[in-house]
Amino acid sequence: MLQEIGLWAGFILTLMVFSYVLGDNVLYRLAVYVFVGLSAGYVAVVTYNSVLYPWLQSTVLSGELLQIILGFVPLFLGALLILKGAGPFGWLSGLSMALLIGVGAAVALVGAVRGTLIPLALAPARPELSLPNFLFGVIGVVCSLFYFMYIANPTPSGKPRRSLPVAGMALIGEAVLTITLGTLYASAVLTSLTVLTERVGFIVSRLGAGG
Amino acid sequence: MRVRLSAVFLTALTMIFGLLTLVSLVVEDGLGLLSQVVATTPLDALVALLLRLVVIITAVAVLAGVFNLIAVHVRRVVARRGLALYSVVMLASFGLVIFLSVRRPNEVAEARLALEGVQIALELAFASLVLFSLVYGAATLLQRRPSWTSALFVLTVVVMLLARVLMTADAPWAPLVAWVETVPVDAGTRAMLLGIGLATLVAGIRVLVGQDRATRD
Repeated sequence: MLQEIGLWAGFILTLMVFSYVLGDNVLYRLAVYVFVGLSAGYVAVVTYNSVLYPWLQSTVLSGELLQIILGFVPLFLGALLILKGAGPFGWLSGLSMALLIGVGAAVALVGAVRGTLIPLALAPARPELSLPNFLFGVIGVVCSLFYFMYIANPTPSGKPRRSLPVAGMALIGEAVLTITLGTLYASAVLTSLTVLTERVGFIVSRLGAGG
Repeated sequence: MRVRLSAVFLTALTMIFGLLTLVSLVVEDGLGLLSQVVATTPLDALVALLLRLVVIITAVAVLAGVFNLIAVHVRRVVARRGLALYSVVMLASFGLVIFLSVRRPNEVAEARLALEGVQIALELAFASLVLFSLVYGAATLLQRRPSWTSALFVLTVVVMLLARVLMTADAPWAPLVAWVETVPVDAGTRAMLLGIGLATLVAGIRVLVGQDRATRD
């Protein structure tokens, strides 16, 4: 019975979301607020159940004094974040931020080197590629990286200008990146089209079930 | 130049936390004296604790954000300002999730499943709505800023869509589409990933050497 109510609620909310095609309206906004409320609830529940509760159980609720003190440390530091921008005590939030940013920067740095840069530099291109295609791929990567290079020589008029070889490579890189983004965009369009088709099928099946 | 003591202290603290974590994550066996130093000190245990603290602080920050969202909407309902209906709906859906979560799982299992079904239906509806934005965006791109890149972009989108929807394996243009996907697209994707990796590397190093002060008020 509840499952059926859930399906009908999903059906009505789907129609409310699709009403946006006709323009921004009350029904669409109501659906957005329902979505925000549900999402906020799920985020709060998952965060508490899978992160905070295990921590509290192993520290604050363990009964050992040292563990109890340790358990309150991140809660205190988390509470300090609320002081950010709160007058003379605002700098105290910096203690939490120092820990978050320091550790986060180190983890991100190691992750970028070990997870992205080294594997991409060492892994060859697709093995089935012929030599011209392989060379084209290498040139494409190098030129694309040149496109993001913003070093330029100043001209007498004061306007910075790239040297001719760099400008040429950047142009090729721009074309490669445009084709890449166009292909990814087409994939996104197809994915959302597939989801839309599934939703329309859901609406039709619900109408069939109700009729 | 006036230097605030608190800013120097916080920058130094950021660098210490970052460098300790970096050394613990990078230094492995076989690096001579450095490996011995890491092995003989409780550095790994300390960094493991720091990582756990970061996770808990982030969780507390997330909960503080949710609390703030709820507080704003409660204030709006109490003050009976405009748009209070939306806030009531939002608070009701939030309350329903919390209510079903604090009950024993076997008592409300069916209701939870039904609610998750509603959440998934909403997510899918919003995801499918993206289609209209994507098509509209591509259509207006040429009208607003006509350039050779926008023309190439739209041409690629159209060709790729037609190829995926209409193309059969023995179509005459199939090798061209396959070449575009394996050579230029592969190169562009690699370049973007490398760019993100290099940018992360530079940003991380700037924080660790104290050049970027991300802890200012």
